[in-house]
Amino acid sequence: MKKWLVPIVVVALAGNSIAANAVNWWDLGNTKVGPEQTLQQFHEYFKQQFPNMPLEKYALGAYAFSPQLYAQYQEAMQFNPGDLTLSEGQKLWDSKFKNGKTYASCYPDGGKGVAAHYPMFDSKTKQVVTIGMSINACRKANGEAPLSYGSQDMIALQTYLGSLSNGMPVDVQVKGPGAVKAFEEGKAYFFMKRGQLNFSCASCHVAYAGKYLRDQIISPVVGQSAHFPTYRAAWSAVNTLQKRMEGCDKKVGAQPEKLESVDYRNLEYFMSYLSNGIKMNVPGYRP
Amino acid sequence: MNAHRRTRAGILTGLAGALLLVAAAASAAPAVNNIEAGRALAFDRAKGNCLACHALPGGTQAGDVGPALPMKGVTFQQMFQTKEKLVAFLSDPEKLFPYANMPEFGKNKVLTHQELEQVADYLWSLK
Repeated sequence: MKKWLVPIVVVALAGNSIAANAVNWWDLGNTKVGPEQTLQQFHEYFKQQFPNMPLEKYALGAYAFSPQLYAQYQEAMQFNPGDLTLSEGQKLWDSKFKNGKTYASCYPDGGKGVAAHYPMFDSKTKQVVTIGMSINACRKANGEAPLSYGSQDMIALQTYLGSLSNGMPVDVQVKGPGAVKAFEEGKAYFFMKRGQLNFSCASCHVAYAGKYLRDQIISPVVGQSAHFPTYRAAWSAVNTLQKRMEGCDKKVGAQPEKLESVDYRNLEYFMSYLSNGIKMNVPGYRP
Repeated sequence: MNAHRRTRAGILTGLAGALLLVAAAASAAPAVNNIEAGRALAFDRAKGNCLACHALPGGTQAGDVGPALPMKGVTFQQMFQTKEKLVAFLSDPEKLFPYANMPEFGKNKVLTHQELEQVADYLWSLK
């Protein structure tokens, strides 16, 4: 073999082997493969994108990609403005209903570790139940009127109940045909391009994770659910993952859905499952 | 005397030729204001907002999800051959590249056809 041919062949072979195993982001949207394989494919894809990033680091979102930003984050977390909402939530959580009971009576272990398993699929009603819905179900069971989604009290309670799982890995279950159907519908919503700008959630949070959109780093979808409700400087407030979905829908010029709509719940179910194994940290702090 | 006259005539012909050349150049190349208008549209967050994804000469806080423009090693002229094809691409990128992650600026009426032509004039001028 001629000398100059060797490097060309080596390069060609290396190129081939990479191409054979590379996971393309648009192939992750297949809604026939089921939850386990979906999670595996997402982990494989992100491992190829960021070979040196361990899974637990995805809890940091965009901060995982910039040491300077991470330093700012650590400073902000020493006094997270979101903690004010957290203590509001604790006050509400500890206050008694008219019947003398509290929220803690509705949950196993007083609510500790509960949020890590939400959203969950209720096989009786055949729908995804979120933490917010569980709070209202608790109120109803105790003769109280439901809180409206997006209200300050609801957000504070969602934040406090979320924080009772801090340090525990997200552990959302998708078992049975009804649950899988809801999961796949959430996945379809995630990959569906929409709005005047024609972007899907995946366009940014899968394809371009870790890159810059203007001067902001795009966070990967894996890990996003683990820090919501979160404090966002852009909001100057704590709010929920579904509020963020509304914001994304508006930004791409699409019609946002109502909080706790079927689509948003299925989407939250799908996204939370993708964060399985990543430790909860509520309320988070984001730019 | 004859020589003098010939020189004058030569100057006049030369001048006329130069004027014709300038006129021809003006009709083939876009007016400078078109390039300027295109640049303004490309930088405007509420319009083209090209900087959200692409670095452009002189742009600040540019994103990097798309290639920096003009692309290294391939000019807009080489890539699109004609400015009309560039306009068609900006109007509906998925038609040319099925996995393009780029807004359909014309098809979805983000920009008007005239605005797209101005952006194309601007991009065409990048070297």
